[in-house]
Amino acid sequence: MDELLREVIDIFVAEVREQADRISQALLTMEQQPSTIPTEIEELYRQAHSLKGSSASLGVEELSQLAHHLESVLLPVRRHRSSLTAEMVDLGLKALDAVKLRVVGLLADNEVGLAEVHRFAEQLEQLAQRNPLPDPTVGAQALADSSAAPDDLRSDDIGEPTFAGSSEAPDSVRVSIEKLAALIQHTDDLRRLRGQLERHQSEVTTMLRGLEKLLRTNAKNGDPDPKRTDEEIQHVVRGLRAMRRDLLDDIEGLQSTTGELDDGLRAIQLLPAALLSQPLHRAIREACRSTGKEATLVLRGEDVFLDRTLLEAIQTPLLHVVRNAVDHGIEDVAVREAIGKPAVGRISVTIEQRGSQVEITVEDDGRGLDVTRIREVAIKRGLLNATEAARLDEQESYQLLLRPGFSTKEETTTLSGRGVGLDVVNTTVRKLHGSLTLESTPGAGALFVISVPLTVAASRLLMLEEQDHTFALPLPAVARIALPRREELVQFGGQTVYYIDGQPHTVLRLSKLLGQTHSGDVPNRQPLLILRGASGVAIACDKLRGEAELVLRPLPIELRRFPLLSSVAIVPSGPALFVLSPQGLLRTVGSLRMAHDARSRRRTVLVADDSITTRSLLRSVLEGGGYRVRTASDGDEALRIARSEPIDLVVSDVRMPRLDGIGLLQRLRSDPRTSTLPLVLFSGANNDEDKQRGLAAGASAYLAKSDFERGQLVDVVTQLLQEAGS
Amino acid sequence: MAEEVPSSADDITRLLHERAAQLARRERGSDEATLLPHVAFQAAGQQFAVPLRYVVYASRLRHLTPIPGGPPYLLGICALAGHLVSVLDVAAFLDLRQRGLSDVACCLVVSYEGRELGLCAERLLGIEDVPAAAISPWQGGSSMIPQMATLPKLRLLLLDLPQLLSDPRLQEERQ
Repeated sequence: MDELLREVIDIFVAEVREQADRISQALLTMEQQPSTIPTEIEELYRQAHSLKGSSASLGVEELSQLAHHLESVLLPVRRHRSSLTAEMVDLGLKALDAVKLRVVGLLADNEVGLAEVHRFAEQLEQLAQRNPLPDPTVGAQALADSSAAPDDLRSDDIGEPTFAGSSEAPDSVRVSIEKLAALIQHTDDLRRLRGQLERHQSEVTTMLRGLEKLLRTNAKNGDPDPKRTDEEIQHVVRGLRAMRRDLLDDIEGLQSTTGELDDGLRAIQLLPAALLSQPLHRAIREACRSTGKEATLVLRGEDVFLDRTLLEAIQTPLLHVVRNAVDHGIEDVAVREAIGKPAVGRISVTIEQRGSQVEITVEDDGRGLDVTRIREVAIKRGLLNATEAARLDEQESYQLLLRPGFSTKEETTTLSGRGVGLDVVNTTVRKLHGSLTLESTPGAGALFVISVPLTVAASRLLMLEEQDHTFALPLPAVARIALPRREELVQFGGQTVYYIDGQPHTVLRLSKLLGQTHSGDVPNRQPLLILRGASGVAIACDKLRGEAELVLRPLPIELRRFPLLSSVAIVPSGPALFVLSPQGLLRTVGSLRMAHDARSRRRTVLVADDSITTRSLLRSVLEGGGYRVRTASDGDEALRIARSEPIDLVVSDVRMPRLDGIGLLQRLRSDPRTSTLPLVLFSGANNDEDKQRGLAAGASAYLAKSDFERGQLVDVVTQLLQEAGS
Repeated sequence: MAEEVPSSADDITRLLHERAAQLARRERGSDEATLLPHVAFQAAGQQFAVPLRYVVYASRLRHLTPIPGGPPYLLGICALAGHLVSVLDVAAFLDLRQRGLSDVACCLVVSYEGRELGLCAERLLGIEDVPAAAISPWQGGSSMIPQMATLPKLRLLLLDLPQLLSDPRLQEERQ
């Protein structure tokens, strides 16, 4: 047996049985109530398509082929809402029995049912080829009901797709008997512990009654027998001591059992998204083989842990989307080469946890969605008239792809063309209370974003402490953690800056982002977090508490207005913790920086130096201090910039080609537009002559490169700008 | 006496309202002996009660996580027996504080239409069977407490939970 199939055999078998049952039920319902054909056939097709897809992705070709031939047999019914013959139903039911028999063989890793599946697949194929005439016994009413439908969709199919199984949204997980037995063992342990606690409670009651009786007697008659009283009290004390020992054992037992129970339950519910890797790879490989195209998969977010139910539910639609990307999106090799694209197409699947949602993005670098073609097909299928189609914007046109039976593909292949794939995706996503959005850049590719809520998911979290409160942050959002010493934090213009790889990072306290004030000293090793997507900012907190893998719960409704909170992490036997929203933090960082920029009016400093190293260094230092920086490689260029752009201050080297620093200073002073522009000479030579020449020519300050200190330059610049502004 | 035949939509509406009011009066009259079980609790010097049918759990409050930047009436969140709820200081929320909430010791988890909320309490007073006859309108000016119950030893402010949960301050802010 294939290794992948072995991993998921229990789930696969359960799913196939469910699909076979649903298809059988749909066949019977249609036969008995022909008026249900329009809805049941869609349900049947979805199930058959899912069966075909999941079997193919696990290499169970015989089931995939059978499902394909079953779809072919029933295609006339779907296309024309007619002609469901008794022969189709008979053969279909027998074939589905064979499917169920085959999964018994798969479970036992033998060939049971294989011959039957092949035989019925062949018979279905022959039946499809015979293209049977409509059987007057079945489907006539349905035909009459839908005779006005122009093509394979009726007008009443437009809009909300009906889904027979919509009330059966996944609300259960499949658990092996073995795992269940282990859990039951834990509950047995808990029951035993409960019995012990009840016994202790009973003992306490007895002792209490004895003591109360003694006290009552003594209160009434005095203490007639102090020796006996003492003995009784000693007896109770001994009993309590023994009970304390027992209770300590019970508590230990409870801790151990609840811990194991917790681990067991979590293990059942959570699976890594990496499990999607092989099915996705396989689906793309198979799709490429069928189409003669070439594409590779780039999968990100394999370490995200997802609820088992969610993972199971999302796998089939995800496989549909990637197959769809190969079949519809990725161009043939020759075409790609002709238009300058790499011969091998790329399909990226990214799984991310965003707050209380899981976002799965499928992006391909193919031809993109053809809005014109989509509109043409919609008109051809009678979904819209030409005027209505012309009024649709791009997004509305893309949404047409999600309607039942919609396909822009002319031919039906084993991959697509039946208009089922995206319909299944959309329906499944909606059943999971999620959303599906489509984007496209013509010629460059398409983007499908599936966003579904996390019902239960364990996340890797970074635990941190600020102002005596513990928070959690999704670990994937943290790009880097730094623990600088106090002296490595530089104060620039009222801001703390820390340099990482030569890049200045403004330090913002977490409490400030949370709208609170921070009290307490900066520790010697100040924890700093650099979030992904937050360039130039480091978030400071009091302490780091390590990593944890915890189950997340959505925020209660009344807390969803707090943008910095994304969900709640449940700590076993501990307090609930707020999980901070990386997006919310980034937005708050952005607004704080904008406010700071507005306060400092983002003054622009022109740096003139012929050394690119010095220019880069000064840019980094000044930007760290909150200034916008322009650079020039000599005095000439600096002069041109100072005359044509709003410059607030110039920092200039003395020795430069073409026009040196002193020359630049003289030219600036002689021009009324720049005569008062502060200029700091930044000289490589720390000698009095240069300094005197510079100051005599009107330099506002003179700094020697040899004595350079980051903080000093920013302080001088800030002071000069304040003086210039006052 | 022959009933007046309504002649317009307004007349029909008026007639329906009158009939509804009559029915309500009749029901109230016949149910005066009915006992309505409520869970009573004390918070900030006031005695409150919510219908028992809304209460799903009550417990001592062990862990309360404060909400950073949260309003004073939301004391925090807590997880109680699988219920993850925000804990509301009802007295602060309704501006009914007689004295400071000195000792938040308990939490009452209430549920309405699938939504749960924790109500903080200094003390749970127990389940009180409130006779319908003991209920009268409360003139305190809050739509979330339309009625009060006067019992031999207690004067309970009866919380209208659906009304409370629909307050905009407890809704998800629309983006």
